[in-house]
Amino acid sequence: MSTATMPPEPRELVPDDPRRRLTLVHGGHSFADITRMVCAPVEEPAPRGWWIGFGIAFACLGLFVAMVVYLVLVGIGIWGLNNPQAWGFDTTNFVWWVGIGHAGTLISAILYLFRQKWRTAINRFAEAMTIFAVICALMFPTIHVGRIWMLWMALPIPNWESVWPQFRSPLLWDVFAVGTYFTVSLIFWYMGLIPDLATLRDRAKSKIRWLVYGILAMGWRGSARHWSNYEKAYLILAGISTPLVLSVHSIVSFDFAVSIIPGWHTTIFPPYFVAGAIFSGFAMVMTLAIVARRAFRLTDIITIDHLDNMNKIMLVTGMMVGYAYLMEFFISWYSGNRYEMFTFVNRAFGPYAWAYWIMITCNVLVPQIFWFRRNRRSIPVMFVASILINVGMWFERFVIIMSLSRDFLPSSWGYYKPTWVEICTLIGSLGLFFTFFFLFLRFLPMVAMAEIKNVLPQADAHGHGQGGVPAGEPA
Amino acid sequence: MKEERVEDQSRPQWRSLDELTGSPEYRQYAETEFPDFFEETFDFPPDAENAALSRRSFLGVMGATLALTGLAGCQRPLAKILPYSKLPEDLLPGVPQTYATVMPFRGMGEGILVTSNEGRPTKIEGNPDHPSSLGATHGFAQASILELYDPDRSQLPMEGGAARTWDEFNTWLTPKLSALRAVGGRGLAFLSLPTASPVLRAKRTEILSAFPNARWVDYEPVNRDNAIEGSRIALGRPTRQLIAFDQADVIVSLDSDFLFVEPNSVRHAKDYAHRRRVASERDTMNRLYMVETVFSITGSMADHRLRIAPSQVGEVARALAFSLSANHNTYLGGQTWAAVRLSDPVLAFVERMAHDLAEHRGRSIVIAGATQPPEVHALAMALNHALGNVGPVVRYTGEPYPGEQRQGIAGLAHSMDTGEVNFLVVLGGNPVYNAPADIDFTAKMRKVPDVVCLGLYHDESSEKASWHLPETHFLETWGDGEAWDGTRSIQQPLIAPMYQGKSELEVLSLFLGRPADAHALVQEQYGREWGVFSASRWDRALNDGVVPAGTAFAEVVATPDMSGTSAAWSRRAPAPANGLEVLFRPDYSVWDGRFANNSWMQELPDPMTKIVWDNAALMSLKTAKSLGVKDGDLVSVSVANREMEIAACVVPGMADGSVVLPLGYGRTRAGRVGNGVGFNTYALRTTTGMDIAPATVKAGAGHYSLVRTQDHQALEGRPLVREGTVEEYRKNPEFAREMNEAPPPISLYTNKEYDFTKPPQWGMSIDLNTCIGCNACAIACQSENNVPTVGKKQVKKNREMHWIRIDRYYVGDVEDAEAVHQPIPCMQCENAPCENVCPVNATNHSADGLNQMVYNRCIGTRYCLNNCPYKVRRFNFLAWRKDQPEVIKMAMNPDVTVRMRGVMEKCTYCVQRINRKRIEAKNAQRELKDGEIVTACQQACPTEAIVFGDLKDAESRVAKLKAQERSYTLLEELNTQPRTFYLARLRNPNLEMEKA
Amino acid sequence: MIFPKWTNRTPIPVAIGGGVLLVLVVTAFAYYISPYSTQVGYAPTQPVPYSHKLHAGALGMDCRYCHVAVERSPVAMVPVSQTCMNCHSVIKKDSDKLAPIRQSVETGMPVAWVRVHHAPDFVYFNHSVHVNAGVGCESCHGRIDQMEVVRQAKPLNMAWCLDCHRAPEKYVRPPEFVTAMGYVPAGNQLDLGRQLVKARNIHPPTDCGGCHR
Repeated sequence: MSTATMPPEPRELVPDDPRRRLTLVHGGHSFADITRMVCAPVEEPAPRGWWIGFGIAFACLGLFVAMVVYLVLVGIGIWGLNNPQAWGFDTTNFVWWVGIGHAGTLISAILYLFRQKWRTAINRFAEAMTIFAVICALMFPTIHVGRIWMLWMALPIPNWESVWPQFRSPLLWDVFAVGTYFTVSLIFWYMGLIPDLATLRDRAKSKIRWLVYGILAMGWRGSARHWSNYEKAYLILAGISTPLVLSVHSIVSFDFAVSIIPGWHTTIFPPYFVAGAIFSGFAMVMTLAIVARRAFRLTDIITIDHLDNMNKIMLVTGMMVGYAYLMEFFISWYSGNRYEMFTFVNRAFGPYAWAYWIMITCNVLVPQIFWFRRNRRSIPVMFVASILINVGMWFERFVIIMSLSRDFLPSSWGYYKPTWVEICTLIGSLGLFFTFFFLFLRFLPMVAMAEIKNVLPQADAHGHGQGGVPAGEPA
Repeated sequence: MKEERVEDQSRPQWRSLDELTGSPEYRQYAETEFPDFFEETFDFPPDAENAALSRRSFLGVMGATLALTGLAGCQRPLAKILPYSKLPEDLLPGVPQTYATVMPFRGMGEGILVTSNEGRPTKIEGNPDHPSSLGATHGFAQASILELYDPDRSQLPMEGGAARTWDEFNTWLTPKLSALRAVGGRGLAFLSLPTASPVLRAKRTEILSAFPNARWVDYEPVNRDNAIEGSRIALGRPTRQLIAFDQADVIVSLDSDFLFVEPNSVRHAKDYAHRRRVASERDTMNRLYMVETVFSITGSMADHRLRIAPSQVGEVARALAFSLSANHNTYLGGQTWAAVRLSDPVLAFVERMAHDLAEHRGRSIVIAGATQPPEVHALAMALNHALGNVGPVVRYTGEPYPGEQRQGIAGLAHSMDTGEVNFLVVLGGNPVYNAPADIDFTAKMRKVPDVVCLGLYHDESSEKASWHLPETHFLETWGDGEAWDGTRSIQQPLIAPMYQGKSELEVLSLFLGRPADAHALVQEQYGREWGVFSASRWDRALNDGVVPAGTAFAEVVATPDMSGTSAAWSRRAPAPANGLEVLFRPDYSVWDGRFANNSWMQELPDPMTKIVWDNAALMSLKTAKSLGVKDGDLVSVSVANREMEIAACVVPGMADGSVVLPLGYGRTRAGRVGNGVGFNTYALRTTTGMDIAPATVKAGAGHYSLVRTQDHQALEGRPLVREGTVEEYRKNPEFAREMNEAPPPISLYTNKEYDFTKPPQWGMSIDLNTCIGCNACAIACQSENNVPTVGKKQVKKNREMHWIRIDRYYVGDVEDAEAVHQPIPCMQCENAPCENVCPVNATNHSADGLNQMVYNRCIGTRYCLNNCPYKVRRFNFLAWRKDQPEVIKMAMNPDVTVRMRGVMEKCTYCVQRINRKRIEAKNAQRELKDGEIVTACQQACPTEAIVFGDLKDAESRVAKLKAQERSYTLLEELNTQPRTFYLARLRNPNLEMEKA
Repeated sequence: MIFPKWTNRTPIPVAIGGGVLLVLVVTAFAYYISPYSTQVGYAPTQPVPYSHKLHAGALGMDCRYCHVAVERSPVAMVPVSQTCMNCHSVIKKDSDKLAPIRQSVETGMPVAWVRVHHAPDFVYFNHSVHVNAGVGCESCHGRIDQMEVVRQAKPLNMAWCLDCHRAPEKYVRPPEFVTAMGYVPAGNQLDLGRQLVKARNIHPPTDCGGCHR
């Protein structure tokens, strides 16, 4: 991290001092600096690192495509799924990606409504990440069906058989829930982009950039009228997407909660899934932010304080998830239901115990390190932690889905093993995600310039409201 | 958890062989149960094994073609209609017809009805008018429809490996025959299967009169020599027993698997079940004592079971005789039977058995199994006499065809060796594969200049023969057959020979130089028998499936010659000194190997071990421990310095110190399905040890993957299979329902789509008390519903497709395990969990209470399968039928959609049968009668354990059964409201014995 | 300025125009793939130019004379060649149009008629139960008696089937009129239909299992 370049930071006494607020942007940059810093990655030739990263991601995307083609040609049998265990990696990956796709809208909408100004530094690419994650998520329910060419029957389209989809099926609810979430997030994200697109348009040197950004900016001229409409629209969209953040994963959790399978059939799932989603979402934002801020020299904008705050959120959500794990056990014992009890004992000590304990370690134990300020502010620690948490959250879903392997009739118990195809598909989906993400880093401003400028000290000359100490001055 | 189990169940439940102690073996066993997570993760192609097995192989461009058809769906293919040019009489297109015929199997004729669609047979059922069937069938009969359409059947005569025509064969044969005739057939030998066809027998005698010096030998690896020899000893003449199991209160079986392996098993099962069926706590049940080595399905039905080494079974019989004569004043011809040295518990068992028998004189039966030596059979007959069972329970008839097969084949081999035989005709059998190992039939055959081999397949024997002749399938040709009791049936063809096959009858007429077709020959024969041929009588015979006017054998009255019997006992070979013993027995799936190329049978799980696509050396846990092997390890078994490697399979409840080797596997020329499946145990079977032989067994190197359809053997203390004793039942008829202490289920979701009040409301009853786990229902369902087979590798991945499976759980003590069977079809839940999770409405409910599955609507999310608590749904993970040969399509039931890859399927209570009958009734403007609609599983079931009908009709059988106290539904606490329900199982133990 | 002023006015027309266009395209496509365009009117040429117009219309032969199985079997049954010869061994006995028939009767080889009405393999349609319930031939096959060459008159798609299965009274006839062409109900079809449905206890299945197995 490049804090070394900074003057002594006044922050040491700040936390206890209510009169003062943190400075959200370090380095005492001017508005112009901000614009320059944020536009640089888009305008300057891409660093070699970008090409390497993009190359790898794109290769993985190719792998994904290959696996899907193979799947469609040969059939679900090339996966390890079997009779008791008819879902495996497919659904695990779906829920995992949807979960990751939560942080973005949470940051942009909820934190916005709570006036958490520090969000401005990270909301842009958190949102971007959300959209890409949801795209990856939507891939899996689509390809996991046995006859993908008949998928249209799951959509409420008028047809010549006068048969409708089954509106009682949670899978159909998913279609609507995730679809809505995706649409709103996309619009929200694009809304936020408009002023910055205009900036890029105005700075454009080549004809093409000029035209493309021009069209995308939809004639934004930054007039007062534009701004007031923009603010209104942004607020409304924030209001709309806030409930979605909660609804999506609640509904995804219904896929399991609505069934009768022991280990699935539980009312705790909606809150538990939402918490988990935010948990994993922040972990992913963290992973990406750490790399991006470093690679594109944005350490003054995405400061250590931002990361610190996010770590706190991860600690909280991590504890929530841990509580849920505990509660599941308690309830299964309390229910006195023979099958429930068996399922949870089996989870912790049965054939999939190893997965269960990976989950516990990564999701419950690892976040505990964030009780300590040093850890919260140590880049390497949080980088490793955030990755572990993402692994852990993947295993959480895996463990839940593996409840299928031993349900009611012992005679039909089985064991699920993924095939190389499933593993490659998972890697491939990461490729899909990162391909999008690298393109985003290259062609769109990864930080909301317009909003950042709002939180610069200069934006508020009289020091009302945030009254930040212009960085550089001793406190 | 264990105490809880004990409370839950009438007897302690345990999980797998070693759970009780959590011993190291348990961990080993556990390994087999949860395999390494990444094992097979990286095998490429995912199904190398199946790829090798071309019929199942699926990789390749199939998907592409499928996708294309998917796309090309829009434009319309030009479909042709090809009407008959002249309508065959009494054929109405679209309406299947049924013909009666007879299946030759196990040296008897099994009466069957065959359904034919536009001239292609598609389904086999039992013939209700036939005494050996009474309307039911065993799996072999069901599966023979697939055998008919087996693409690997031989199609042409062959000389060496080269294709020939029948004319060429004749031109080859004629000079040889004239030469043979000149010498009265010296040097000519026939080796055939024992037949139950009078016509064929007549033809054989004709041959022997034409070639007086020719010799005729019958040989079948699974034969009844012991029983026949036993009757010779006891009764002085070859005799056949007709046992009326429905007349017996006490049954003592000396290693006799009479519910499956013995001839006439279907009838036995029917009669036996008749005495296990109870309507109320006042009804009585028979009691079955089983003394056996292997854990047979008959053993699983036993009320008391004694597991003991095969050679000891005889000693038990002797002890029984002693006890009866000494302690229960039973007169055994003044013979004193020396007390036998047996362990005290065994003697106690024998004592109780004797006591029970003595208390049920004239109402009991003692039977010896085909693998027991003659003297045991003789003694069993003697005991039946002494107990006055002859007459009321067992009757004797002459043995129509007492071939001494074991000496026969040995003698033949010897004279082949000495060059006395220069022309050998093999009719139907496969001696090269299944003749005793020590006579080395292959080598002997090489010494015979001319060998002609008639067979359904170009098999191991045909390969070695100079000429191979294709045989017709029994559904392709005319003939006849005798039921166990002698009742005759005409065997009529359902389809013209598909290839250039000829029946044995026709081939023999070739050898007589008077070629004729089977139809003429059979009619001629019956004309001779009836004095004058009567067309009307003939037609009635064809129509009924039995030749009119009592053709059954005449009963013979015989009194046992006790001195002969005891003499035989004095000659009895002493039991081998405490070494291991092997016992050979036919396999539950492929019998003696003849069904090895039948994928239905190969994929049919063994009723007890649940192994598919394999056989294994069955041994008890103790034996395995002493050998230091665990389930699936290779062991090397050697008998009389012959050695073979075979996988060990640990079976609870098996006798210690003995190893059971099922026959019929390890074929090399069975066909694309059966080649190289399992281990050829004939390699150890010698003339001296055809059934039982001392052996040395030691751990071999390596592990073998035995695949089971059920990885988990125990109930986990869950009240799924509910059983009690007759006493418990009498005390508390409701005992079964009270085994589940779950609170009554209440549903918040009240607005149901249907109220299920309007009749008919379909339901199915399965009586666990009469289900013997014989698998007939599973095969019947497979045949009726076009259920695909998937191959060993896919079964290992739990992808088998059977719509009705039979769960087998072990219960009770680890060593002396008992077993229970539970058939699981779709439960047709009224609140079906599968229905409301399907996003496309592909599975939903019908007004008459069926849980429908619409294949053409299914997109394959598999959510329904996840949410099915009974896991009865089956998913087409791959295009199982991709490489299916064209001809197999002829075996398909045209009334049932053949499912494509990517769709879910499951039991539908045979909705096609329901619809057919419903429409028949509607067209006739009448109501459906109870019992008019019969599901495939119900129709095949030999014990009538399955009953289907309208629950709303108070008079229907199923409604009455539902009203019984024993009836319960599976997992009722889930409030799925299943339409399929079970009747709790009862055991009828001898109470004093329980105390002992 | 990058874009000329008029571009400010473009968004709304573009939005509306795009919307309308989309609707049109979807509708057109929906009709194009519908049975109304893919099925109805299909009239392949047959090996023998058999005219229903002549036989069923002008000569007024009953459908069941040739389609003998229709009351007893799932299939109506395309007549066997012999059936044609019942008359044509006397009438027009050496017309070359009938050559294929004569040949078929001699050789025993079938005449390869082209299927006109085609239900998918997963649909188990049963003629007998419909005919016995009083569903007229005409209801599904149209005015056969006016067709020189048989053409598919109805779409035969599932919604179309359900239309009758859900309200049979709209279509059922008294049994004696089943094969009648151009049948007009004596009185109000609905009243008549209701009586018939009641009298003959007609309750066609609307469950999937009724037709799909």
